[in-house]
Amino acid sequence: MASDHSTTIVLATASNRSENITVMAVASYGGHLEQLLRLTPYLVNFRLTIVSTGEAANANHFIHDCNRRKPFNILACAAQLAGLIRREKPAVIVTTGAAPGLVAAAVARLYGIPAVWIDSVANAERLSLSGRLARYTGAVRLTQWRHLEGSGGPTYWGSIL
Amino acid sequence: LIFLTVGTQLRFDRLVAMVDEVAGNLDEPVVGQVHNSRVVPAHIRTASFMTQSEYRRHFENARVVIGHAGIGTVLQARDARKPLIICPRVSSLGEHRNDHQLATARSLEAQPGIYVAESVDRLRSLLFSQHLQPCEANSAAAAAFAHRLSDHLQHVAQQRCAVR
Repeated sequence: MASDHSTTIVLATASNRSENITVMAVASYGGHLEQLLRLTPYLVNFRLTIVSTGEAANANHFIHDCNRRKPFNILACAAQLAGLIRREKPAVIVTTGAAPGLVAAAVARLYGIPAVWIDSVANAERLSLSGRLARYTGAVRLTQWRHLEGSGGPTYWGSIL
Repeated sequence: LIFLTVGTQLRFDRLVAMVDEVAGNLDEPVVGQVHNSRVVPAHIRTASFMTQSEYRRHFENARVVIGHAGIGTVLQARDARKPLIICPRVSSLGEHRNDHQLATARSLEAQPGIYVAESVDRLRSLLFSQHLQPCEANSAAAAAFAHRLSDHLQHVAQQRCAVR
């Protein structure tokens, strides 16, 4: 990023404007994307780019779906996310899961980009496996259940429900 | 019209039986998406398979929707602004892997338009009530959560710019 461009951003954010901040929002198609899309209407002040799997109508970019039973897809998914990060240059990444979101948080770390993991509201008993693994990506981890908040565990800021 | 939906992943025969018991006393049609139910209801019009458009049509036409305490059902009832009666699945009865639906039901009960029925009596009094409120399309909780998230995103983005 050119130095004069960064200066512009500093000035813009200093006056509390965030439209120059790119937020990349990642979720696999289905319930995870559904939850992400309940939050994005409130993030319109950012330059938002939505990444999903499948034929989701509301996404800007599509990536391979992956899970722990398909290791090659994880690599393909990671490569696609790395490409998108280089292209879109997000300041921060937000994900509601599942495995592609975990991959996004891991790739974000490689690029030094902060990430936020929002665990699905369906996980009321225990954080999802991906959510537990997201600890190792350094992402801020959020649970949507107050009783799951804990020291060293996820944080609770609220819920979409 | 009353529309019963148990979701597309697991059967929920206890709820089908509860609704059937009350449906016999109602002079209102009850349609059910009952997913491989082993209970054969006498008073619910059921379909072994329901297309998405049929499902949506019943949902739209319903005066009240009855469902399990699943996130998908709750979000759909919100979007359609229907009163929603939920019955949480219980793991000890083999209705789900764990009891997360009890937590969901407890946390949702305070919200407008969402009613929890764990007994036939409660279900009956809700279905005979003339004062059920519709779910609200926008959740104040979602807005509050998103604003907190937004503040955090702005904060970390500014920090990154400051470092550069």
